[in-house]
Amino acid sequence: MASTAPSVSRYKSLINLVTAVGLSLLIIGSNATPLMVRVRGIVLESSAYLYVPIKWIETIFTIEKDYRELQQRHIKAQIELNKSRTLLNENQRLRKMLGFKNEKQFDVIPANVLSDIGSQTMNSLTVDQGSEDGVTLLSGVVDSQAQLVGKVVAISPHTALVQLVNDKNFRVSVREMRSRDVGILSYTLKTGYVIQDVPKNAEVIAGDSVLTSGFSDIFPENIFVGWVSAISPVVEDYVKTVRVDLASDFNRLEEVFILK
Amino acid sequence: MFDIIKYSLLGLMVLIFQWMLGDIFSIYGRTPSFLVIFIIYLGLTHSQLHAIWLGFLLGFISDALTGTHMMGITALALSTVGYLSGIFHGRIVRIPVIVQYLLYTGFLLVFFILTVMITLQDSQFATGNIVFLILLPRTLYTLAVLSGLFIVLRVGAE
Repeated sequence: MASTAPSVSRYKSLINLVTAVGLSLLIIGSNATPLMVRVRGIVLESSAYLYVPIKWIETIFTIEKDYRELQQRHIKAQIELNKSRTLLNENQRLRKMLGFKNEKQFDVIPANVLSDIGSQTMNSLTVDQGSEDGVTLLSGVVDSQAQLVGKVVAISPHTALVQLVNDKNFRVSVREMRSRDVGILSYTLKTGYVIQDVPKNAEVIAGDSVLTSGFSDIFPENIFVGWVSAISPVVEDYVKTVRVDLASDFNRLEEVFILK
Repeated sequence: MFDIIKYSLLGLMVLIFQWMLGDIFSIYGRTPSFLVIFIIYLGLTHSQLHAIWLGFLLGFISDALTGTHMMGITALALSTVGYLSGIFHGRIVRIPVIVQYLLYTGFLLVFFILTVMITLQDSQFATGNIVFLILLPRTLYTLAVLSGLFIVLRVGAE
């Protein structure tokens, strides 16, 4: 008995390390369990309290400038809206004549960006709207120009974690406007954002717009994603890769809109 | 007890700093990890046990904040680095400076191999790309910051 005490003390650090590693592995293995989702929510919720005062101070200094900008945007948007209303009426009338079904409607929840986080594994941001505000997991997120920002990957009652489009693990089904070809937009280390496996005869040129295809339940159709920046040489004679510049400026996001 | 509270608070401040202001130090999207520097510092100068458990706690919070799909991996990596650096607690001053920096590089490699390589293993990136475009640049950048801080704090100096 007397001889075991010194040996335990000798291996104290190692025992602690093994315990910590064991706990870490347990956490890794139970990432998707309700308990871990709840714990992540609590951490996110607590982190929001740190950011609220900082955000509030920032707002004081920028509010007047923001107000003027918003006024200008509002006027421009109003003019566009009037044009769009005319086109919408015409479009609805023509769709009715052709017997199309009505498109899915969605609401938006405005949210302030509390923090943005870039790591080697994930680019994300935290917003100040959560499950109690009607946000649900995997809701699409757009910026004030209705450009694609990302999707909600974790929620707590008053905050949500948004995985950004520029995250390395993000995938979204997109449509190239000119050719109407559909592909999956993803990130590669060498070439940046690309739509892979586009048919070689697709009429894609640099500057073309890229929008969501609407083939997923997360993002509705026609959300602006970005522009074609370059087209790679045809690989294996039947497909090519289209490089894309994302539209949204992720470094300047102050507010986003969560699609409901 | 006072030390535990002091270093826990300091660790939380480093975490908040990394989380809120880490991007300021970004060069071509590569940011140094101040958390691992702090844990190495703690292990070398304070206590191996505190380095292990504070590494675990801060790593866990960091994982929860970044939303990584492998929550717990940073906790594992930081507690391992805490253990390794703690082995040299009180002995680092007797080690030649070049060996000291080789050790620091080793600690950082352990951390980034665990966090970067494991997390991105199921991604579409080739291993070479991960090593040369993410792992090595981040390791070298963090080593440069660590060197600067350790010189100022006189870590490893008699």
